[in-house]
Amino acid sequence: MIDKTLAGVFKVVTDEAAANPAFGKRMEDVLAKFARDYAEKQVAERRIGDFHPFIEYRKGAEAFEAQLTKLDAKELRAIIDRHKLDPALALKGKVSKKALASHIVEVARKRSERDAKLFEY
Amino acid sequence: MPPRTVSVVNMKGGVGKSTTVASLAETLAVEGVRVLVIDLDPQSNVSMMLAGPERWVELRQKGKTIDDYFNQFVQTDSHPKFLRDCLAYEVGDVSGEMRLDLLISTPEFRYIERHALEKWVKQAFDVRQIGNRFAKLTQAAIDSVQDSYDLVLFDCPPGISIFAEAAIELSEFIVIPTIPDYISRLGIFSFRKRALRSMEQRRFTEDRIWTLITKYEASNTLHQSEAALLKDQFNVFETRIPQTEQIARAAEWFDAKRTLDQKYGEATNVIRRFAGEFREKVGLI
Repeated sequence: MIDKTLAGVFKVVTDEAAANPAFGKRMEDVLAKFARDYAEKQVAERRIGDFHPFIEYRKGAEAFEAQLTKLDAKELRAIIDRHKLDPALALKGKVSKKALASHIVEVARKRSERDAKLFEY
Repeated sequence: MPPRTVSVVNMKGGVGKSTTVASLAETLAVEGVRVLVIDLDPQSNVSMMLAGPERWVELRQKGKTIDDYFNQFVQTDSHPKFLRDCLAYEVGDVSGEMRLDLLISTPEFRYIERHALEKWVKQAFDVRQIGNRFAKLTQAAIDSVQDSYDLVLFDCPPGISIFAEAAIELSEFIVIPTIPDYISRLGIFSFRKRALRSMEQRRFTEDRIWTLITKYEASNTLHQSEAALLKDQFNVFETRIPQTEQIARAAEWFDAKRTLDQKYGEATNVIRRFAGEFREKVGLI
């Protein structure tokens, strides 16, 4: 049932894209942007690899901050997304690279301090 | 040579302590290691897994339980018993020639601790001394059967009971099963200092306390992140026990004997790998 319904919906869209060049162009633009954003996100995720903010912070706060300055905004975003460092979405919208890096440092610092207390449990 | 003594412990419940004990005991027994499992958890999960519900009921009726064994030291009117007379021999539903024995627990086991506290506190013992007393009694019990086993595995209850403390006190190694998430990790911290102190008093080092990552989901980014953090902060086994249906199903007793591969399915290789790592760490090669 659902497969036939979806096939019907897609046929309406493809027919419109073929018959209406303006609509077709807008569809192309939207899909191209999605592909570009997705590819960039993938590249950033690959570049950060196994970089773990909490582990790196434990090695030394200053060295950690220095490491972050070498990363671009997309890579910083990838770290934040991968480790869910912004659950309250405080960094929603356009945020500077410096603010992203500061946020990561702050979250890592708090986690490290909490863990240090746990070791004294 | 006396058997290796290992406690499987975590303050947090549901992290896979009993599952770890049962699968490790069966795998090692299949490989020829002579294993005695001592169930210290009144929930009796590992007893049910290794003896099966019918035999567990039968053993209770015959008074062959850990409660019956320790009761003789708490209630003076009870009959003296030897550990060897309380054991369930040749347990497990895995096929093959093996030596895998068990001291079962029952829900009544929690009363032994309560009675001991009531009685010995009145006699001016403090909780620490009562813990030491149980540790000595347990050690003496193990000594009485030491020629029969290469390994004694304690399945400790969640939380810290006097018996769990006693097990830690006399264990040469501690295995801490942990799900790699924030709350399960807290379970390690809550008794780590206690375990470390016990190890240090016996001139052992921290390399005898090992964390085992359990219920691991490889595609879960929280698990990936917390597992990396655990590895950075503690001694962690390389092998991670995955969250699989087959491991969960293996907890249910099956009347017909089956091979390890039939019991654990695709997870058998992981369980064997963990057993290999465990043998290396505790010196059971």
